[in-house]
Amino acid sequence: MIRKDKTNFFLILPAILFLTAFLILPLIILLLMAFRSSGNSIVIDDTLTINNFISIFKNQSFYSGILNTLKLSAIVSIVCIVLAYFPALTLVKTKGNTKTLLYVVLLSPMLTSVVIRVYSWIVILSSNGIINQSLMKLHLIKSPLSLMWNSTSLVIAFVQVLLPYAIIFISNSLTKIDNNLFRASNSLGASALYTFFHVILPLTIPGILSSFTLIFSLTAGSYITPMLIAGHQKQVMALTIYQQAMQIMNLPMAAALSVVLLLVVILTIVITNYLGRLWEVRVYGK
Amino acid sequence: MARIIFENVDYGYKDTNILNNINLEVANGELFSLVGPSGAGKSTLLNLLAGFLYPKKGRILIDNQNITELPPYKRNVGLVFQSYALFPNMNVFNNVAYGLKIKKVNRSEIKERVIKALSMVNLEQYIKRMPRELSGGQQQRVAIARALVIRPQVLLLDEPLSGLDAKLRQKMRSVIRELQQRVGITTILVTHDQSEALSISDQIAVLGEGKIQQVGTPEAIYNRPVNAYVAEFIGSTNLLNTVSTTNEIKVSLTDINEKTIKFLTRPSKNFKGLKFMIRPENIRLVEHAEPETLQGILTKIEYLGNAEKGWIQLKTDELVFYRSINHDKKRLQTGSVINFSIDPELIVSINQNGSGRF
Repeated sequence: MIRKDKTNFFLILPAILFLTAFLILPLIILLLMAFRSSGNSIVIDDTLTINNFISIFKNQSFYSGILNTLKLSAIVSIVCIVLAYFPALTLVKTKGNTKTLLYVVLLSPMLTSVVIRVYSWIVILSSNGIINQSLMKLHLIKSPLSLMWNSTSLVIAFVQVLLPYAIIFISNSLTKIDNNLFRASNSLGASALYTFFHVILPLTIPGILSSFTLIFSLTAGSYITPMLIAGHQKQVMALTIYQQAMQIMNLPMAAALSVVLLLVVILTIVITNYLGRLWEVRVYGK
Repeated sequence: MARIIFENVDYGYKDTNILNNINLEVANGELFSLVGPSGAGKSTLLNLLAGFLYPKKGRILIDNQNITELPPYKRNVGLVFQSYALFPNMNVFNNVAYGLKIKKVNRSEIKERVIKALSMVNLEQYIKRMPRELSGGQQQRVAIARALVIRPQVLLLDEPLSGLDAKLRQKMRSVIRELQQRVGITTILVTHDQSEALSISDQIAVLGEGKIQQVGTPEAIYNRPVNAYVAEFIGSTNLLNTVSTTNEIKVSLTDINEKTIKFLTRPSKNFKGLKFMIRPENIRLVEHAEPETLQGILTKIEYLGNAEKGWIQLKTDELVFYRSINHDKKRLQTGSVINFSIDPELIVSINQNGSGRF
């Protein structure tokens, strides 16, 4: 047993070293930076202070920023999960080459760079974009609709990238369901819709929660998409952090904001995991 | 409670048929078993009845109502699966109540009927348990209660006992039979276990090669198989070689000492293509060689607890026999020389036009 533990340790050692160097150390640096004073000068002094956090919580715009972030992340997650069910059910039912093809199609949005993907949305959604131009040529509208620079377009752009994650998690949950459950439900008089809400949905809760955790944190942490699609119309936390760090060059404030965002995201994940654990204990035991 | 009729049912893909021209009639209140090797189409037949598959041709009737095109949720059929298929996210009560909730039965009646169904399978004290907290046998009983509580016209059991260990299987077998008799529900049992089918069925249909080989009572299936397929599938059997001349068919065996005994002679014009068999339990071992006995070498012996199953090598044929064991009998040794006799009365002829003993 001890021997085996030792081997296991050596096997995970590279991963531990990698994570220490590229995740844990930067996090410590970030944490330290958050407690430095953020004067007007570019020089950061060495004394530790909690002034950054005090000014964050005193500032009204911080609350609207965090609320925007939470709302956006939650909406994107929920939209992804709802939209994922149909593709996931299809994916589970197909076999062989068709399945492989579907996987390729599914993963293709992830193969494109964020910037290119976002610019393509601009091409489609902007006032001179494909949609507005077509509608105007068809004389359906007189002046261009404002499709860009609002939260709907932001949600669309996020959903496009993050939907595959939800599909994969949910189809994974679906494959674990015994096919006979559907038949049993059906033979007991349940329609497809009733079966979906009473059997399929409850049994894919683990998939829903994993999708939610991942999509929520990816959305909350992304700044390029909000910057390019919504501009400054919608101030989200990640964008504020970017502006503090790259435009105002206030690194301590950016670090402090990052720590707050990190805590908020961790809290969400902890709550979701706790709910998932409750469900698991109920259905599968310890 | 219902009578089930399959009328000229074909099922299959484009050109290949899995089931050919199935005609079956299951009488009201009967326990009807479908047996056959895996891939024989037993479950396909069950799925056709449950509505998960639709036939290419033919009709299926329950109580004279044509249900061939009806979707599963509109048929009044109770299903029990090998994998139990209990909803893991619901406790025992909600599992059993599932069908009643869909039918919008009022709450107090649901409670009453669920408790009644569970007490029928002796599980009323487990009402709050989750499926995972129950043993396999208990889960299967919940599944039966769930199927029966909606008062289906027919109960379909798809290999319900295959997932259980041997001892529990024996027990559940009688539980199912007893329950079926008490409720009086027409039941179709799919099984590959012939002893299960023989022990609890009113009627058995043997399926093989995409069609029904024989339908009959367990006794008829075992003692009067209509063809070699049934004879070999149900129980062990010894098909005996025949020698045909222009006028007669002879059934005879030649032993290791070149001694030949002729058991039967039949005029060949009436019995063309006839096969003969003898069940292993009808081969009688004797101590000493006598004029009517044959001699062979015991090549293999299997100990079955209360019996022995052995293989005797003759000149060319090999025969299987069963012999019950009691403590004053000597155990047999492989390689030893065995004397045995066969009563010609117990040789069964197999033909399509009704077989029987001579």
